[in-house]
Amino acid sequence: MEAVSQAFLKVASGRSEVIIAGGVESMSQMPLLYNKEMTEFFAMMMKAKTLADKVKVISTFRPPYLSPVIAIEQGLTDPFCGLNMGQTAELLARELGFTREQQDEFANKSHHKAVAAQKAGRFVDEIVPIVFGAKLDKLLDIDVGPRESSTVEGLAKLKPYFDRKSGTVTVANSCPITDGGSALLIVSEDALKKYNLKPMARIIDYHFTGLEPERMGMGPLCAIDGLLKRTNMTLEQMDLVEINEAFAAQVMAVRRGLTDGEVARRFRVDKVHGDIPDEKLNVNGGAIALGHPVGSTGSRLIVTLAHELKRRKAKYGLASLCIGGGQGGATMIENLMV
Amino acid sequence: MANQKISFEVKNNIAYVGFGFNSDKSMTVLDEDTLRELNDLVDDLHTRSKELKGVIFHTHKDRCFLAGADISLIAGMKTESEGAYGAEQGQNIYNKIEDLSIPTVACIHGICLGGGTEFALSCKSIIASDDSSTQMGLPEVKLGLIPGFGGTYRMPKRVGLPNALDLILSGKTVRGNKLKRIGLADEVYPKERLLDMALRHMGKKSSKNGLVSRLEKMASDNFVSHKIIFQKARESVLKKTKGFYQAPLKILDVMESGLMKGRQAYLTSEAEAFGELCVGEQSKNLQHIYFLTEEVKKYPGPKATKELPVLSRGAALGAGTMGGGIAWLMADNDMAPIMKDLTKPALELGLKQASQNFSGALKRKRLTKDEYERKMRSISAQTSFDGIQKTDLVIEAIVEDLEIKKKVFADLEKYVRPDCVVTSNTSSLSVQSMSEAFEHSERFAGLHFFNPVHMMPLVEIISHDKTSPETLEALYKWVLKVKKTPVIVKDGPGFLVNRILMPYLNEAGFLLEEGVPMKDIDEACLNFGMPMGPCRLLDEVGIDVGVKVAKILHKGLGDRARSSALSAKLSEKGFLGKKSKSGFYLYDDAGKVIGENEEVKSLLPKSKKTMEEVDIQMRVFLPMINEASTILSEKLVERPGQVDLGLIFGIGFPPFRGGLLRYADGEGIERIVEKLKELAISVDKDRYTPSARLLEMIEKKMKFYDYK
Repeated sequence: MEAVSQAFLKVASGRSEVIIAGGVESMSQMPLLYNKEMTEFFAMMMKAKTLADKVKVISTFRPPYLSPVIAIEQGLTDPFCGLNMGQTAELLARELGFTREQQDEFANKSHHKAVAAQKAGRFVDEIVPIVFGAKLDKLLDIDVGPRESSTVEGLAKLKPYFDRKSGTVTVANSCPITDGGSALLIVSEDALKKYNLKPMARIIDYHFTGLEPERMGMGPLCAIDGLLKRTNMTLEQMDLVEINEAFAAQVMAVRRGLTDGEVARRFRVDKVHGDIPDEKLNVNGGAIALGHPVGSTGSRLIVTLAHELKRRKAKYGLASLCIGGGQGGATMIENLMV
Repeated sequence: MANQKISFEVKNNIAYVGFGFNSDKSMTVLDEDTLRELNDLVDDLHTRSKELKGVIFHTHKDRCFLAGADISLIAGMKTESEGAYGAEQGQNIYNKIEDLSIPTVACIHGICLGGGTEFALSCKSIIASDDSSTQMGLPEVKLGLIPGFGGTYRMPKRVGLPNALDLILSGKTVRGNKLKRIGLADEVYPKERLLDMALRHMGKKSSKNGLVSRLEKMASDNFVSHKIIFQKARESVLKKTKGFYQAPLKILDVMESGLMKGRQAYLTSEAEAFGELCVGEQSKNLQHIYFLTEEVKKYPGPKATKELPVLSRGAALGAGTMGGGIAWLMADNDMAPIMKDLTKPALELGLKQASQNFSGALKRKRLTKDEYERKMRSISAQTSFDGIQKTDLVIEAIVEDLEIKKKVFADLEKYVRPDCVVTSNTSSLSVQSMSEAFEHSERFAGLHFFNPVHMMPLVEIISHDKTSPETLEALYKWVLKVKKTPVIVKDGPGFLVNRILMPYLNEAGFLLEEGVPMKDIDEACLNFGMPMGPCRLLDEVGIDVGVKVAKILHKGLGDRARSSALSAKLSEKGFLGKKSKSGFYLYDDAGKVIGENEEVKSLLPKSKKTMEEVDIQMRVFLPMINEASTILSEKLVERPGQVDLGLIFGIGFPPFRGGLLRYADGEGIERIVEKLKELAISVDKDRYTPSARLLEMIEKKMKFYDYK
């Protein structure tokens, strides 16, 4: 989403005419890393000149040096508050009193909405098939995340992952680890005429805001609040809203913040914007089913939003996501293919 | 001394000798003048060797050091002794270079083959550029020759016997870092640094004293291992060439007996062998093919008056074996192709074909992993026409059905740009009829690839009444660019190659029905030098496909193109050839022949007829010659060379025979017509009556190659 907003700013300011903005993430390729002790051991070995020095260094080796650091866990852990992303979701679920069942229900719905959308071919236009497999001879033209067989009962069987004793957040009511990429072509009005292009949508504005890292899941609440104020629009005017489903509890929390003034005030949001009805929110499923390839999600949400607005011949849409480290981002677009 | 061909200057007591001087040709060859000048130059170096610190040989050309001896010089040799004398002249110059007391460094950049590589070998040090154009090798064997300027003598000394045999017997070329790896070059540098770095190699003994190389030398450099190495090499040559080719065996003789000889005796035997081979029929035939392939590089069709369309992005319609192969070819040539078919499984079939081809190249290190990934991913597999307006060349390879093809073309024309060249990879349908589907048919032509695309070099470009010269020339140049051999053919049943192939397959069917065993037929053709016998070939093509094409040819050409009923019977029984694992032969899962199909025999007469091998060959090859003569008189192609090249590159007609028509010329037209007349009486009138062209040739006492 930052890429899209950068492109928007550059084009709006006249600095650039045509920009492709987007992101790619391959979470399945995340490596295991050597830990700090092992890294230091290697450094010592490099410095050791004589054989005696080398023997000396080798003698300091201890087996635990070999225990790896899992890069993806490191990447998804906040360095300031020390919580990983799942734990921040647990915190919101606890504080706002979301039950395990409510979260599983939400996750289950996400899967079924996504499956329905896939079956109706609603993703066909927005997916560019790519070749995959060891020999690059298979064609991937559909997301593999959504599960038709998903049931609330089935989801209930899983153990909580981030707080194993008393938690409610499981791997199934959070987004899965996913690879993905997405991009948008963003051009100025002059470029539109020059290259004879037909626009799908117009970016109205965007907004980013910061908040406490422990409750980063509330980022969308703050960002949506800021964006609506900047654009002088109401949430009701939005025909569709995409809020990224990092965790079921986290989206539920944002929804609560939009309707409950008391909760909103905790995040310095002084206006109750009102609820987003089910028929407007993540209508084709969200990241719990489709996945959240971190670097790509922002632009993917906008792509999905633009396609669904076009399909519905609706006008305004808003996409928002939370950002690890304590931020929220939101972008508003207008469908031009009515 | 006035230097015309080779530059000479002295800087800091170092002599710089540059080839490709004063020349506007892209390739420098060792012609008579150059050799004479080189000789004088080397004599001069000898007299000045006291004052000089060394000699650096380099090139003034960007992509060529020395492309070898002038082939027309070799082609002009009349007698063995003339050939041997020519080789000795070169050897003497190179000996003098080798005998220089001062350091000599050859800086190889660009093509350096044959006599060029032999020249480099006579220098004390060889360094090469890492440019993609730089390649060294001794390809003489491909022309049926032995390297005649000391290559067989010096190559083993530099790279060791096993490497040398491999290079000389296969004629393959080596580039880049591999030059260093096998020891042909002492070091490889960027081309801009080559001359500076040459100074470092002055007087430096090439450093081949590593433990590994010393062990290798010990292992391969003794009497016993020499014997084994030569025995293995001989076996492998016989296996690969089936004994048809004289040159590799001659090379082995010279090199094996040479081990015991000194320089002069070795070189004398090399020169003698060269003289013997270069006037031999086989080498003359192979030289003939060389000249034909040189001729092909020039576009022979009607002159374009407008600007040629630039064919930089491509699309393949249909993702079958051919479509996938075409997509591969386009992707390999950076055309980022669209590959379109109707369903995902169909697309995946095409992707599989492309991936197989790329994987093969990856395995043979013709491609890096990154290139593989980039090229493979450059294929857009899709079911829609999205983006097709960006393409410049569309090749259709969908099902062989005229009506469906016409519908697709009419539809396609709505999406492509008006200047997009559209082609059909049809192997049997009328290009003329297809052209009717177009509003702008001038941009349309047939473009017939042979299966499998990555192996078969020939591409037939088929014109119809309205094909524009621009379309033809653009396609011709494109085919050359993707390293295939184009031949322009006017539209007609079976075009060029399949039409001449028809009697080859048909006669096999009739012979079988007459009771000649399948084994005898296929073997007679193999012994003629064909890569596959007709029955085996039909299995490869697909018997059902053969039947379909045979019908079209029969309809188009009349009763002389009639085929036996056998294929149709097999096809009905589900014996479709290799693809169904049973045809004339049976196949295992890997596609290897495991035996003859006994059930085929039950369809054939019980009583066996034995026929002389040469009689079988007459039955099969004479009607091919007959048909080719008709094609020439119908002017479907312009020249006999196009027929010969088409058959060599399209169906693997034995190159050492120089082509079908060159073979016919060699055998004598009179004899051929006589035999045809005989067969017309004893076998079948329609199939064997000599063509009007052949009769005319007899009357005018002309050969095929007398027609220009």
